[in-house]
Amino acid sequence: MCMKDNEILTLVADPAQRERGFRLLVQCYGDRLYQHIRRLVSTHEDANDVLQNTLVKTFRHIGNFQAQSQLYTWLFRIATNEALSHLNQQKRRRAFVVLNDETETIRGSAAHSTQELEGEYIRQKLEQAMAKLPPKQKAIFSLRYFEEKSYAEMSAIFTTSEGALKASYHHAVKKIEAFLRT
Amino acid sequence: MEERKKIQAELAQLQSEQLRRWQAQAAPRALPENYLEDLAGRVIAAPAAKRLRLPQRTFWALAASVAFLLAASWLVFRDSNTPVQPQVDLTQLSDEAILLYVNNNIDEFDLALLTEGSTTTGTVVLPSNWDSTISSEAIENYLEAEENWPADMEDQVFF
Repeated sequence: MCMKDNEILTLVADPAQRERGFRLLVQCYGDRLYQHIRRLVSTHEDANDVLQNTLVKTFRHIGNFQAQSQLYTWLFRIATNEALSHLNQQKRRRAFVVLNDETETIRGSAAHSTQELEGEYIRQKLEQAMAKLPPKQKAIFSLRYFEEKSYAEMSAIFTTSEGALKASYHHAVKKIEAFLRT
Repeated sequence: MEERKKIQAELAQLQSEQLRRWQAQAAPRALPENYLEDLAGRVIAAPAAKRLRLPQRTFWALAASVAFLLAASWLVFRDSNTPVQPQVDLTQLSDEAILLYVNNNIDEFDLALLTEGSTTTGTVVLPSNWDSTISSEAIENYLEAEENWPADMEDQVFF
């Protein structure tokens, strides 16, 4: 059960309660941030680095958060920027990157039921298809399709017009659908 | 939920049947046990160290760029500030010194320009050993006398 945003912000504004407030924030949003980042980068290690950078920036600047946007929007904006920067750096270094594939094992637990296996199969197929998209289009698709964000919320995250985001998302859908049909 | 309905309708409109059926069916990735709690602890414990960390590659690229800009600026300003010729106060030079310099470096001067300069100012530059007691009339007579012309003048080598 997540605490409300304003309660978390009240805690982090108090120096004595700051760490507790931050831990509650991570408990509430950490998993969704990780899933979003993990769809953009190739490995758990990369996702771990990006999430850590995201949380470091959050912890340092949350005192200045003006609450003009939702806390969720602000966190996903930082996370998306960090993930795209990470991908750019990776591209510049021309490092060998292993793309998501069906052979990658899942950390933490193994799936057992048919439903779980099917869920994993779907995730893997979608991640394979997303790997073909340019980084920003991938981030747009992730926020719309998986996080179910409206174009207005995404516009605040990307500082891009809703029309441009819609066009980009539609392109991504077409590409992914074509990949899934092959 | 409201947004999910919109996304479903959008996918139907885009004729993306597979994506429409699979939405919200993908299993999330499982995280290692206590992963988020540990990560929060690490972030709280070491934000200052993280702040100071600058990638070494970036640092050296930045240092090389600054060094290059400083060297280029120094070269440009050095060239633009160096005078082409030393500055000399011409009023401090005597007429003799100027005349000697001109005679020694006559090839460097535009003779037509020198002649023009001397006639327009109404002065005639004479050598320092000029005998001023010779009259103009005597000079004219000398120049007009044919016997004073060299016989093989056409064949003389003047240069």
